[in-house]
Amino acid sequence: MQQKDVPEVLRSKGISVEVVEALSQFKGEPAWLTERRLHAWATFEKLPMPTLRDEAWRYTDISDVRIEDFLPYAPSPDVASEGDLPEAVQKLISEGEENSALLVQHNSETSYSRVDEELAKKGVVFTDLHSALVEHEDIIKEKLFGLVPEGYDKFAALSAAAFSGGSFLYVPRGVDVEVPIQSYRWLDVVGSIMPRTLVVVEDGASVTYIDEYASADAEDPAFSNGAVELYVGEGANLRYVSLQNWERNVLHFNTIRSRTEKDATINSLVVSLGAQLSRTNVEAGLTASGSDSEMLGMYFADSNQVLDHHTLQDHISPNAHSDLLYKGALRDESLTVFSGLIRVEPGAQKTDAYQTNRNIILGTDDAFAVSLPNLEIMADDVKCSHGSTTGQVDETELFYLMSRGIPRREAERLVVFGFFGEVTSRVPLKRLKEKLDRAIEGKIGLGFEERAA
Amino acid sequence: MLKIDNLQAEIDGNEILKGLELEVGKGEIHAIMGPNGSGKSTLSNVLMGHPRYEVTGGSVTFLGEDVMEMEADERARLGMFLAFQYPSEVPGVSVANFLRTAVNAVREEELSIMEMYRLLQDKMKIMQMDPKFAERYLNEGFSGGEKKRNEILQMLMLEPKLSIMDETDSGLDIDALQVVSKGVNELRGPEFSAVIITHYQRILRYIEPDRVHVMLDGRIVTSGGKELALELEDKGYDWVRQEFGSAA
Repeated sequence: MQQKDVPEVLRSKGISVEVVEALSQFKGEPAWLTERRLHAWATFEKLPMPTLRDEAWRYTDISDVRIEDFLPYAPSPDVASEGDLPEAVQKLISEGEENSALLVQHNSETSYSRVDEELAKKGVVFTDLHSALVEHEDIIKEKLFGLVPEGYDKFAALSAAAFSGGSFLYVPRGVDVEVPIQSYRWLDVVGSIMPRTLVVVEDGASVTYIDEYASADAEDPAFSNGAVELYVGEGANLRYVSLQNWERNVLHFNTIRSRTEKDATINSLVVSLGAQLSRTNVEAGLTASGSDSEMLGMYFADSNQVLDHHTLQDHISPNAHSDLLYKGALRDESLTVFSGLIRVEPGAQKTDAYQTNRNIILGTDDAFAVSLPNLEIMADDVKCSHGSTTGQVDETELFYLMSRGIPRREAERLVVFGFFGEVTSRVPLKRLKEKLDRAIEGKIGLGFEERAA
Repeated sequence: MLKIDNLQAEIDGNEILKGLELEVGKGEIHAIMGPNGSGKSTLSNVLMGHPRYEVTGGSVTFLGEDVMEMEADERARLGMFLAFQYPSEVPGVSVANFLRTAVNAVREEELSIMEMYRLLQDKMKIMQMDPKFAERYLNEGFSGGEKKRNEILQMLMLEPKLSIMDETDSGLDIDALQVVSKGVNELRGPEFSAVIITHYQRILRYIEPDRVHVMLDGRIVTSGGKELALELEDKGYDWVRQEFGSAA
């Protein structure tokens, strides 16, 4: 797509009904989608911007977020091969998992995508949402906005109205995709990026899908607003990873929701390392008996970052299992929020649900970890537990390690790696783990010896 | 090799060590016996440099160096070792990973992965430990006996010049006690000294001490040969209190 093709209204700051209309027209979308976008825009306009007075936003101050300041759309050049992608993106790919399908969204547009021939032959579809509408309109019409609808919240409404790029992954019935599928969202302009991910794993199929967010360093703020919808069919397996590693100029909002059918399994890992402010909602709908949701999360906040996670384990059907473990580290003057709810609906008997949040504070009195685990149980024959701990790195533990000759810095490193190891050891993706280890290493940096008196 | 002179130390403002004197020579094994509350564990923690204890007076030199100003890791690299009474649990850090880091920190040269593996297998065999043990997280979910064996395993891997053993025998059944003692005797020789801190003389049947000291109220009150341990077993700590308590 050449720059000259982009309508004028999309190249000036702010989002309006004209922007939404122009975007839909520019993409050549069917009438129903234009309608949906416009309806979502109306919802966005109706909903007030959340403030600290809203329960779900009590600790995360977004009063500085001015959506009207961002460019709604930024084009990017199409590239013919991986070798033509920006160098930074090539580096991300080379350090990432081996993949059987790849999509790169550069700013608002997809610049590259590839599906291994063998997968394509089996009917696996992996492309951006605009291309998918051409050949798979029926399924997109049925599923898009189904899990993250415009009414979910202000940011979901904006996503429904103004998304662009995104990805659509379809795995047909019974197809086992062994090698992970990967998408990268790359931002190198001061503007916005609003991808939506739609994953449909049909009955008995299995796949691993990794969404990674990264950007070029910039001074002025940029805006990321995503929505992820994950449908897991009967007896199917989906491993979903969201790795948010934006530069610090980015404000990131994302909602990830899944629906699992009978005997389906979803394993999610949500990693938040970058951005100035990052808010992620992760919700698992246990909609059928025998469904299973493992929800892992890790975050590491430094300087004055704000990393906020809201989770929901929604047990709608009986005999389902969910197990959540979110672990976070904080240093400097950062703030993290974990707010998790296990909700057991009436009739969801034999629910088995666990929720744990642990935070470790590295040598500072100025970082703050909010941890709010909650249970809402409306059935009587259930097994549920939740727990939360927040504390400094234990001096006795450090002394024990140091008494074996290990210098303090190395001992601290061991403790922090051990802390996150409880999460990473549960994810069978070697290169991803190495990537996370490097990120943790970078965050620990020169150590955190500067202790408050 | 180890010289403790008029050592005084406190924790949270409570004075625990009140002028302790002790000298341990190269290749010697000393036992320190004493009732609960006499300051035995404080002594071992202070010798290793636990940050919670404050040294308020006296000196400790090891191999001629003043160790009181050193961090715990420096003391360890100098050749000191403490077998903890209550070892910390470190979640997510495997025994193998921990030992590799520690051995490489203490030794001058890095061992290859293969050398490290062989060394660990050898030492675990001595301690009658399942090889799978190395993959478990450090002390997490270990039984009391496993924790103590793990302490001695670390000692065998690090080959210290001086080992301080803080009530390593407590809570062990006779089989475990024999294994632990075997580990200590493995290192026994002209280059290895040990201070065995204990409430009971039981362990001293397996590890024969060169000297026995009796500790009471933050001081060594009497010393003797290995027969002192038997006398103590015979007469009990009340005898010590009657005999030496008033001297305090």
